[in-house]
Amino acid sequence: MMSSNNSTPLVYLVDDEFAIRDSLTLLIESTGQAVKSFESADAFLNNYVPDQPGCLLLDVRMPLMTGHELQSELTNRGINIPIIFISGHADIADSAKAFRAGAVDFLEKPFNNEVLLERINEAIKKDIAFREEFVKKRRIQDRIDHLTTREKEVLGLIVKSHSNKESAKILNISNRTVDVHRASIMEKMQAENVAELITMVIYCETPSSSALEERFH
Amino acid sequence: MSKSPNGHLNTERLNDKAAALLDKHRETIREQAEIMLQHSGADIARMSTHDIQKLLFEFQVHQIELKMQNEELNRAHQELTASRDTYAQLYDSSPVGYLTLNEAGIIQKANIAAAALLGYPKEDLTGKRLGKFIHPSDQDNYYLFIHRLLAQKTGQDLNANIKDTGAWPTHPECKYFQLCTNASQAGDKGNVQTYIECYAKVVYNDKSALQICLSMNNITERKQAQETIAYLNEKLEEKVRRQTSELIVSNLSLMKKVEELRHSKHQLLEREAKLNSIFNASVEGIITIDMSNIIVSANAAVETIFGYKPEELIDRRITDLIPSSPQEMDGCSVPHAVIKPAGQIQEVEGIHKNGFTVPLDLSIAEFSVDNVHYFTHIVRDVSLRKHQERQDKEHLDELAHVTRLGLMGEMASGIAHEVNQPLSAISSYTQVSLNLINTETPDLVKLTEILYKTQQQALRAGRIIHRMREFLKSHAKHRSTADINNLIHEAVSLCIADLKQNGIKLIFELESSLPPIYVDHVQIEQVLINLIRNSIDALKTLPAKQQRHLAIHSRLTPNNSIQVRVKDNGPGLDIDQQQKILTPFYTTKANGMGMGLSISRSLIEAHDGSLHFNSQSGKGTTFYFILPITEKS
Repeated sequence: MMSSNNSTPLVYLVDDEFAIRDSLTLLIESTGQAVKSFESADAFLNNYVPDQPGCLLLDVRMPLMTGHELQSELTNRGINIPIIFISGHADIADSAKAFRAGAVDFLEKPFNNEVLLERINEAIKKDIAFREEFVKKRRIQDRIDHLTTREKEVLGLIVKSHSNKESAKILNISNRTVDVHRASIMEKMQAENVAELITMVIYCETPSSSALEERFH
Repeated sequence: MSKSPNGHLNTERLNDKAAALLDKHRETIREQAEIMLQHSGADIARMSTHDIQKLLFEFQVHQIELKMQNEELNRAHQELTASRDTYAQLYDSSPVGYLTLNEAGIIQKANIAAAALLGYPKEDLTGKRLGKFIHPSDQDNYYLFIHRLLAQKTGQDLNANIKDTGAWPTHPECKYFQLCTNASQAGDKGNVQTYIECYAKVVYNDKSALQICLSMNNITERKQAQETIAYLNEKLEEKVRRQTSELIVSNLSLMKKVEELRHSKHQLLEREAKLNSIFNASVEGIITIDMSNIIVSANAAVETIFGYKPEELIDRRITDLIPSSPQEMDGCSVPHAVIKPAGQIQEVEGIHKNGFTVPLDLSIAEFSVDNVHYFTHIVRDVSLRKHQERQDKEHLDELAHVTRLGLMGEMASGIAHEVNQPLSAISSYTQVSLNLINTETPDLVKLTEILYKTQQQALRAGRIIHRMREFLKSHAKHRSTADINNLIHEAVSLCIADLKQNGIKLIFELESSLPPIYVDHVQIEQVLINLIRNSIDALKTLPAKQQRHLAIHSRLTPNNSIQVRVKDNGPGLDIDQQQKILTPFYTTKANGMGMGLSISRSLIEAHDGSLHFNSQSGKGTTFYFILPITEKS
């Protein structure tokens, strides 16, 4: 069902500080989690594999490209990996900026190791869930994409809870025609009933990330 | 018995004449005797025999007497003849010319010398006028001479006359006559004129005729000598006059010189008085020593500086006062070899009478009198200045400390970040270690490795804290030798977080093996941090996309100083900012105090260095400082 389900989750770590990379790698690996660390944002961008679920531990202050810059670069590239910022000091402005840009967490060094590992797990779960949701939505979207223009119009009206009669009137077509369209839609959308159909469409339209929103609109 | 001499040269003729004269004389005497007999009135005829006999006897006596007289006369005659011959010989051979003139001035007789003088044979002269031989220019004198001679003849003693004429100044001109020489006769004498000197007297010959006896001396040579002498005299007088005038001139100039000397003596005295007053009123000690370092003079000021009265110092050694006096330092007997040129001031320590040291400025000047060298030491008590300098330095140190506190406040978050890095790593490493220990078979090798890493991180954190504490120390450390590149690394280590946060690429261009400098580490680090932070602040204002570079160079300059440059590619400073950037309280930053650069400059200058910058608006700014390589003093 999920294309990336087979891949084990991977924790990406980007920090210019060797000691941080080394210690965190050891720590995270000790929990059985796979870790890939990079000393710069560029190195990460060059080695990132989008298929694999995971999360990104990202240092805020780095030479050349900073954590924030990498974050926006990922957004630009449509990469929706959960980011946990790790920073040398709690700077409100830094954390606010990170959260606004969709970071899942902002931890100050030195951090509570349990909290960090917990957050990593959460982030990975989130990524997996997101990826599943993304796949689901993608499947529904595919079905929607297969509808004819008229069928899409009828579907829109159904979602807005219009009856067949009302729909026929709005579209200025016969009731019979609306019935034919509805049957076709139910079939193409693989919906058992109208309630399921409406749920599918609304689920698909619910934004889960800015990147996906763009695709739906 | 007056007998005029005969002027005949021929003796034979003279003899005949003499014999004739004698005969004549005898006859004359006979006649005279007979006349006398008749006149006596005696008449032989009337005389008695007795009387006749008596008379005869008398006659016989007379006869005998006469015979005797005759013999005597003969003898006298012979003597006279001999004397006359002698005279004639003398007359003719005399070097003096003799002339006998008659009343009219016509030559009657002349001797050989006179003839030679007049240039004619003696025989030719007789009958000629003497005046004819006198030079036309002397004619008047000559006639005046003759006239006077004749006029004075009566009642005038000849001797007096001679005396009179001999009296030089009476008529000197009369006595000299220039002869009109006969050119043909003068012959080889050529145009040489002859001068004669004449003495004349008037005599009367046996015929009672007036005669002028004139003797002539050739005085040409004397005259010439006189003329020469007169000429020489004139020359001499001329010379004397000239020399006199020269003497007057030189006398004048001498007088002027004397005046000048008097003036300069006055000036010298004045100067000496001035110098004396300066010497005694000077606040600087003036001590003169000889070549063996013995004090020969000292002024009053030495008492305030060294506590000794000037007279106490005489004959003491300069090294008692100034142990490091160059003479002693060198220890050689030619002190001037080590003396710096006058005016160069060296800082030395003096020793006060009370044993305390006094900081002094010393300058030494050399002078020599009669090849003996002296050295004047001028010393100034610089305790106050030293105190002031110390105070200034303390103030600067305090100010530097205060600004370091401020700087550290600004850097606190960055440093905290730097400390958090190792702490964070430690935290993770220890967690991993704990996890390892909790396993059934702990991997001890791995555990050891991790614990080692943990330790390293702990030490690293400690180092950062230590650096920070060093940087914040209030008491300035004493200066010590340092490698500038180490100081650069230390300074950068406190700024590393800020550099990272702002995405600034740091470039080191440090020359290796630089000579050590002798500095206050913290203060030089402070300057470096200040410059680095200024660059960071400037680079922050660049757009995010633009690359930010900060380069730090160190190098040895050709004149043996260390130069450190902190260069950024920030926005640079405009002209207005460049003019004000080093002045206190000027800042381009919103929260800046405007003290950083001015203190940095003061700190570098306190190290005998200098701080500069150059900046180009839009291109970047470079600040650089130069520190001298100074050995530990």
